[in-house]
Amino acid sequence: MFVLVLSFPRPGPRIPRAKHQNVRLDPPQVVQTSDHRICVHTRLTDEVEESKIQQTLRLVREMGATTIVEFLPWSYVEQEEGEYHWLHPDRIIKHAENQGLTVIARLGFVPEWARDDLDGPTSLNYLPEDQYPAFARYVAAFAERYAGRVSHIIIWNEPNLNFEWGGRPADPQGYTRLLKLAYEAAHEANPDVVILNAALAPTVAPPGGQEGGWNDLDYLREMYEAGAGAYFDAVAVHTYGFGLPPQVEPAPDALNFRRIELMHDIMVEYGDEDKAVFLTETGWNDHPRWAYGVSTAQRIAYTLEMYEFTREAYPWLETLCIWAFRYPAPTNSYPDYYTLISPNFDLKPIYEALQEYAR
Amino acid sequence: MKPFKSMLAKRQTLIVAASVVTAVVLGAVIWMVLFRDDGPPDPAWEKIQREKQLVVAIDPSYPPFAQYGDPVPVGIDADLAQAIADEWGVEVHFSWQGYDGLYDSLLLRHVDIIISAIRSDPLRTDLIYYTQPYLDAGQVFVGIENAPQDFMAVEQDDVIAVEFASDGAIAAQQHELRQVIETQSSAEAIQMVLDGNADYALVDRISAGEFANQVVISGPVVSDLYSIAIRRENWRLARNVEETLLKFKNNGTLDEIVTTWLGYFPEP
Repeated sequence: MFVLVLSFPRPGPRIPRAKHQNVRLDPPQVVQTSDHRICVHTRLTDEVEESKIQQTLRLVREMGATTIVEFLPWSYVEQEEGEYHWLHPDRIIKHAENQGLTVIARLGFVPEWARDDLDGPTSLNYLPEDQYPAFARYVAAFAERYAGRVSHIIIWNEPNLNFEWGGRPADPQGYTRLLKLAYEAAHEANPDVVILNAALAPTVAPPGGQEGGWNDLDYLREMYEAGAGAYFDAVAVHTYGFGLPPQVEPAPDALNFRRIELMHDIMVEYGDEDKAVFLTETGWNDHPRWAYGVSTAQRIAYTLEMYEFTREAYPWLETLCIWAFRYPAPTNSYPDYYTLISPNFDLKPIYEALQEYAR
Repeated sequence: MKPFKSMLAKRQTLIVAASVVTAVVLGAVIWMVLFRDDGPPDPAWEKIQREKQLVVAIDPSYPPFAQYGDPVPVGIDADLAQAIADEWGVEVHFSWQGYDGLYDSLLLRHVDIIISAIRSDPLRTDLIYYTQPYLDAGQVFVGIENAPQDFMAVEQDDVIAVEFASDGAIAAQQHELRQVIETQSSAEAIQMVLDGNADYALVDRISAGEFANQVVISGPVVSDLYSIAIRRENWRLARNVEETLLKFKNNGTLDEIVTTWLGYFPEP
């Protein structure tokens, strides 16, 4: 009887199912900022609760950032081959638009069905070459679905690290083949889309990928030699401060913020000087003991100096995106000290300093 | 009647015999389940024994736990890995990783274990087994003659020096300590105590260790426990690591390693 009463249809408010959380949109917002290049790499990939997605993006806007870079994994959207489930990217893009933010989408992470050619375990970054077309189809489906809403798409991430190849040696020619397929498929689906190459990880590891990575400067040259220049419309770059002020002179064997100039020099060398550059990851870490950490006060000073001095020095630079705005959960290690706010939405001093700068 | 009695006796004998056999089999099964040193195969442990090599993932950007050295990383984690390998009579091979690569290298079976100042992560425990902690690097109070062993022992008018925006500063705020001075670094916070400008500093244990011969250091008042990570399927390897860690705690090996790098061994 109890069961019958409960199951009998009754009038009254309908309780939404968890996967269709009804978070009310804010009135449409506009970012107020003095520097339109301010951007953050959000990390909403594993953020399940829609209200937290909304609150994160609200705080991004309130800080004065105009743009976010967000990672939208293929493995989450196409869990079964050919079946796309867009709920999570839809949510993020909807709330970003509502807050007046521009979205740069980074695509990667391989579904299990596309990486089953090995007997042993594979990581989410393992993409067999015969599945490159499948990834390109996802990129095209994404470009088509979000045409007019997401105009910039980054293909993969830091392919000069073995980690990003699922533990195999980094391969610039292989990456160029992947980029070509993705570029062509995306442009066919949405001719207006802007495709960005995967930004390379700053590293001085020798070429060949035998030590876990491949020098980013050499790797970019290898990509150009393989013809990659024809398959990206704009350039994504990663560069970090690594414990040093942003003004420190660049050098091929040194890691510092101005390594971006060496990357730009290579672009110019290969005739790509007219392409816009997007710094999609940058920043300083204020962990008290990490070898490349700085103090919190230094982190604030260096970050603001970076925005100031690049304004005149790098006219080709479109955005400077700080890694990372917030993690959904702590890593419990030094990467937590890259963020601008805590998983619990506590604002760090660096957030408040950037907000003040953007006023 | 006699044949019937005889049949009955035979049947009773059979029942007794069957019961005894059943009890023996059952006992053996219970013994096997509870006490036998056997289980599913552990390929990682077998490989270590066969190849006489323990492969350890380590992030050499985190002194004093691990930092670059030639040809191998040096620090508490590097020494601990070497000591475990020595104890097992095998060579240690370090796989140098950034933080992002540590868990992937373990799950892809490129390494046997991670020893890299990592904390147990509840989100990973379906695949990863974390050993008992080998060190607590959490927040400690530092004073000249004494140091409070918990937040309750801090007097209202005690002046506490903390590094700006550090975990210590956050803990001081959470525990509503009233007299807090913020400095640019943990070293400066401790210097405030040495100069008589603060009663205590609240800093991480590692930073405190640099002043160990000048100050009194409390036990951790906020924990930061570091463990070794192993794939959950490698139960025999995990058991051997646990046993070795326990032995190192009891025979002073861990004490010696930590003291070498911290200048003191933090009491629990």
